Amino acid sequence: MNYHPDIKLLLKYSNGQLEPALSIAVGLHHHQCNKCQLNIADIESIAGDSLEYSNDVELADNSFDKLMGELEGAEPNKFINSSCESINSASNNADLHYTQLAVAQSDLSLVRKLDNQDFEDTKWKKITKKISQSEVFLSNKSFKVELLKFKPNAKIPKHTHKGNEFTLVVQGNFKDRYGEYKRGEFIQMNQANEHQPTAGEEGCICLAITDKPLRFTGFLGPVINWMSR
Amino acid sequence: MKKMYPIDESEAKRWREHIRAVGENRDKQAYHTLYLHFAPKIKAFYMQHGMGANSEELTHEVFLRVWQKATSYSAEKANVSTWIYTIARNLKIDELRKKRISEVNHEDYEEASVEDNQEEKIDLLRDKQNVSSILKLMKDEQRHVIQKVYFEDKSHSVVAQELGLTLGEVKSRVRSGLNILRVNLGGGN
Repeated sequence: MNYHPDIKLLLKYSNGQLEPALSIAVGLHHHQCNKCQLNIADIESIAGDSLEYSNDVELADNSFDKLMGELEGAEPNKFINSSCESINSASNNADLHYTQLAVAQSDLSLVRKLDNQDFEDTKWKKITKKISQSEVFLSNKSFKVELLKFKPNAKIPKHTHKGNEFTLVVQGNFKDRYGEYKRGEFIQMNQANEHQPTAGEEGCICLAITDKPLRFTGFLGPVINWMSR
Repeated sequence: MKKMYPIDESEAKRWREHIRAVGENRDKQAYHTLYLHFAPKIKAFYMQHGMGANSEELTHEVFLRVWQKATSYSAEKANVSTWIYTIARNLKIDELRKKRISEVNHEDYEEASVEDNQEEKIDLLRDKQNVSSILKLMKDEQRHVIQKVYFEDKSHSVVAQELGLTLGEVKSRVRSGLNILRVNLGGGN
């Protein structure tokens, strides 16, 4: 892997400060990238140390008794089952387990789906002959989140970005004048970058997160700007 | 500000033994000791991260999970404090997700791809045993702002106020601190 989230994104991700869309994209990368697994483990370790040195805030007097009451009242099986589950999944899977990602539990099914490249129930909407789109609704305030699917060797019209664009390659690969991007790689672009990506020979599916719409600048630009709205 | 490092290794070892006792023997005494030490810190973490009145309830939830997941704790992967931190953090993420609170700070992304000061390369050996030693590579002034901005979730302007600095000074310290992390995290890249 050659393209990773910047250190700021990793810090915010590790401290649970990212919006859902970005934490899903960084989380997928985290799951697939050994280098970032090491970096994030380090950040978490620093966070653990700073927890040790933080000032205490007292809890209610009976808080521990309340806790024990709840534990003793709980069905014993509930706890045994869940701990077995995490042991099994950890040993069956050399990869980082999904539940260890800094992603909301309710978003893990999407992460798992994208990681497994499972698009069975994805509804694609055609934008051009070679490009389809499927919007992902995450109740984000600031981002548009979508899956983009490109047929083999599809040329994506030349465009610039009005704001930030974060892209995670979910399947296949694509390239532009800055480089070639493979599965799991995380690409961040902004106003300064104009590019004309080309999908690889097996096509490409990306998770794209934008805070402002793209601006297509080529010949058909105005038409596409309108169609992809 | 309190000293942040290093974490006492014998203390870290003691917590590992406590977690093992909880996992293997359902040892309530060990669990109580862990609670007395960590619960007030976790509550502080939640207060700091804006969870307000929910902080105590969330701390309660963290400890239910500590009991429940103690057998899956792996000492090779992380210290107990780090493990508990990740449990607390993920509960916070779930809580925020439920409330659909947007925490994005746009100002940060605008700067994100600007790789300035890259020539400021730090070439130092890293102590694998103690990641916090990375923090030692920073000057106090850099460490304080990184700590406040990224681990205490404070905005640049709040940090400026707290430390009596200008916004520009805070930003430049954040930038140089980030460069040190960039070069040294994960065993150096």
